[in-house]
Amino acid sequence: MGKDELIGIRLKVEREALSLKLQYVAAQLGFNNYQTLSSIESGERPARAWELMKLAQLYGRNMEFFLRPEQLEQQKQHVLWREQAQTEKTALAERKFLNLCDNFSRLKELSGETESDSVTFPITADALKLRKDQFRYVEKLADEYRRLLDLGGRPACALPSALENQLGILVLFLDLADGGSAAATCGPTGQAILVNSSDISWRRNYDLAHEFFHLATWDAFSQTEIYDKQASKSLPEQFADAFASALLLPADKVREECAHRITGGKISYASLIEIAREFEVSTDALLWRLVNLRLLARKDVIDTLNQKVLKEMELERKMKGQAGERPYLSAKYISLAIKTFLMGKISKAKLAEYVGIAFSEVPSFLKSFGYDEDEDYTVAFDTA
Amino acid sequence: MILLDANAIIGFHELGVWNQIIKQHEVYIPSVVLRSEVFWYETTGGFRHSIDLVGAIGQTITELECTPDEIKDFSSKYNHPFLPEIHAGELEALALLEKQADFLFCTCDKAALVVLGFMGLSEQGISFEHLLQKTGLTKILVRKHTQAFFEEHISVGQRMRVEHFSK
Repeated sequence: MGKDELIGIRLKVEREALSLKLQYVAAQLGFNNYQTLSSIESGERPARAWELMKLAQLYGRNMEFFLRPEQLEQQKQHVLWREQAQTEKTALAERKFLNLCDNFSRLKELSGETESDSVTFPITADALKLRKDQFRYVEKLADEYRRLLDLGGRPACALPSALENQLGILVLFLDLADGGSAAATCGPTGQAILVNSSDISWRRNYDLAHEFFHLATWDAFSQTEIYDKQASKSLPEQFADAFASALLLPADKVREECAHRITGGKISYASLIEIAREFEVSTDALLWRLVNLRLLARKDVIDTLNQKVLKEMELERKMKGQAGERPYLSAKYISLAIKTFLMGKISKAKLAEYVGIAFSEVPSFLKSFGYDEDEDYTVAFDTA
Repeated sequence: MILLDANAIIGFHELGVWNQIIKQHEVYIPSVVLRSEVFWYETTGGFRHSIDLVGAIGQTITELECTPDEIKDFSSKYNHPFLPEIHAGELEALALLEKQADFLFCTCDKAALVVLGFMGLSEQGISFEHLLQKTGLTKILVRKHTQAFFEEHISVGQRMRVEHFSK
């Protein structure tokens, strides 16, 4: 079999794995008809370099993947998705996620940060205690992480940066549309969390904390246990929710905020929404945390969540929240890519590829982070 | 015969000298650069100005391409962990340069210049500033467009080459 045929077969396999139609892909490449793509896939016509590059981008791969078959044999890094059901969109998102993890690892290497990239948790979840003490242990684990990561009284704001800078976990935000809400991975390229950037901020915070639990307990549960559908939610998933809730809503601070707002033994819906906003969590999450802290009765929360007034107020908050700025990729990843570019370790076109923007957008992208590509950012340093 | 990368093409457009460049030189552009990198450039205030290179093929510019295998073979040769990482467009340009000795490659990318120096292709490089001079133009230039910038980074690559091959 010839080289062109092999590349063609790989291209076809990749396109079909993502359920992309010939016509759609052909249009994306600017071909006048789909027969051109069809003849590339059959090996009748060799793919040109720029065509292969664009196809690779479209399929969430890099060019090397098609040019070096040995890469196909690479060990697959496992990704734990929040939802077990996988769609073609999830498959594409997973490829992009793993590619970005690879890129991150490469950027660390290029910038010389490899030495400090080994991720060791200051505390590791004790699988035995977790199974024995269950939710009590989860609460304790969340408290310990919050303290060690110095997340303060409003942990949601500090969490992404703390995970990236203190634990070396890559926190990526990608627009997953309906391709999934969040995922986590742990493997040769390190630990990473993927969060849907199109979700509202408090959903993203919660998802991040939830996935963090999965990383902290990566070896404690099997996939079967995590995706167990006998109950509406498996026990590990319940633990992850409880962990997220306890991490983002510190008991003492939540009690403090509620105490300020209670009048005559009651708290208003507006106050609850206000507290949820302060902690950057959903009102639902706050209410369930209050049940967990024995400040509200379960029955009252169920009633409250069904109140039309609360639903309308929450909807209004959601509308406002959706207008907010969406995070893009990862602060650490972007800063590493820029640093590597400024060091001259990657070209400008490569920087564009790493951060997923057009080549011509690089100057304005750099400016948005306070850099000018024409400036020299080195300064003489006296080491004597 | 001048081979241009995306940085140089955009630089000449920004300075408003593109027409003089294509009038006075035989301009060649690698296909990856032409078809996937240069479509527009931005000026202050975020204004986008389109660049239609595809429409100019065969008229004022010539498209050159390598097969994916040629790019792979070239990248295998230069694949040293201490070298900067460059894009498929730059790889294509350098692979073309290696094949055709009478080409002069104009780039103002730090990483690409280092690789050019390392590959022993320095003689086939030309700075943005020098190309402007050869076109009979004098302009106030930003650092990356100067001859000094070009020489500084080419020499980094040359030093790496000496160190690598003397081991």
